[in-house]
Amino acid sequence: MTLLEATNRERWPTPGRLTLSALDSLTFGEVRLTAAHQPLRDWLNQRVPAFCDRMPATLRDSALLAIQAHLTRYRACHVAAFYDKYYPPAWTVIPFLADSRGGVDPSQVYNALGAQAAAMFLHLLDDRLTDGDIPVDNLFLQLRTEVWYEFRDALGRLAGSDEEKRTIESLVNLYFSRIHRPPDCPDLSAYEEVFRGQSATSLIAPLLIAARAGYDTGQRRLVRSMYEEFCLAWRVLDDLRDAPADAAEDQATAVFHLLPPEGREIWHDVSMDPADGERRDALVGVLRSTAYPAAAHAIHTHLTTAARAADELDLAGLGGQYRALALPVEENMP
Amino acid sequence: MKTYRDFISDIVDDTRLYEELCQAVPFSEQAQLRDWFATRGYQLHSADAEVIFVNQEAVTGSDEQVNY
Repeated sequence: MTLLEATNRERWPTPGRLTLSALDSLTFGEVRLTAAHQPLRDWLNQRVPAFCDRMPATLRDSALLAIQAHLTRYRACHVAAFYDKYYPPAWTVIPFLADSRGGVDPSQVYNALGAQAAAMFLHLLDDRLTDGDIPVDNLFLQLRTEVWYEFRDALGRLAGSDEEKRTIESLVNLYFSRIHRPPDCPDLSAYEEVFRGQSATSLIAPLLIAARAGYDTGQRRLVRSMYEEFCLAWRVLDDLRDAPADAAEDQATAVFHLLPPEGREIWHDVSMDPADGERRDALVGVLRSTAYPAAAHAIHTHLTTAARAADELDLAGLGGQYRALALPVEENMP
Repeated sequence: MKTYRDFISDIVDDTRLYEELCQAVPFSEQAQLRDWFATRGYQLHSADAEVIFVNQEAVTGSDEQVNY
């Protein structure tokens, strides 16, 4: 029994901080892990204590408590089930690729999963660091350094050829070029292109394991496109959930780009001041009437594109997971 | 002696210890909390114990959504 089952919680509850019920209702569907993947998920959940083991002994417990405080709102059950909170295709892509053609050494699958766990953790940490949500102190700087080494060490064990090593450097460079001084995004297409770059570190392990499994260059390009489509669906959903707060901070997210010109004007003008009821009501109206259906359509398109790519790569199980995520979106599409 | 890091690692694999902790809170003093962990083999640094003590309700809560 997992921790979340033990506490009788939904694995993927909807967020509680939004006030727009129409936005709350849009969520991804549940993905049931296969019996073979459940132990891998449990292994992933041990990565967070393992990251702390890389820290100097005197900092290990403090590092774990800092992760708990800033990433899981102190909940012990959530830090112990850290990777349960990610949509499974973020990492099941690795065992699906490895198992599709056989012949991949299990130690390489674990190297890939270790790299992916570190990439996912770093993505979250960098996001919170950039937003100023966590302190830039010695503890977090050392933690980020150690997890980064964990990421690079695992990739180093996974990469064989010079071409694979160049792939790593190229994608790491792309990641930093998109999180440090990202370019302006005049439209949704540019916004999505920037986000593809921000997902680049979590692409590396799937691409390397695809190479190990014998996928050719063209197929690996499709693997990359498939994973990016999944990430984009996730990004749009996340932006939809955060829309009221992002509007209050005038952040131009995917939802902003999905609004008509008059909706963007409201987005620019709205504030979180409770006295600003008229403009907040106007924002709710325009989000419900235009952003919600457009976002639902975009999410559905990204997930079904990912599912079709999985079909083309003979990854039926992974395609099924993308479709399971899309199910409630499809049911709620206006 | 194990530490708090080991406690989290242990409850990844077996939820019973976490459920025991949920039953044991609230602790009225930090010393009680440290004793609870110590009798189960986990030694807490006083500063870390203070963090857990002050946030004991949140530490044992499960209601709050975590969004990555």
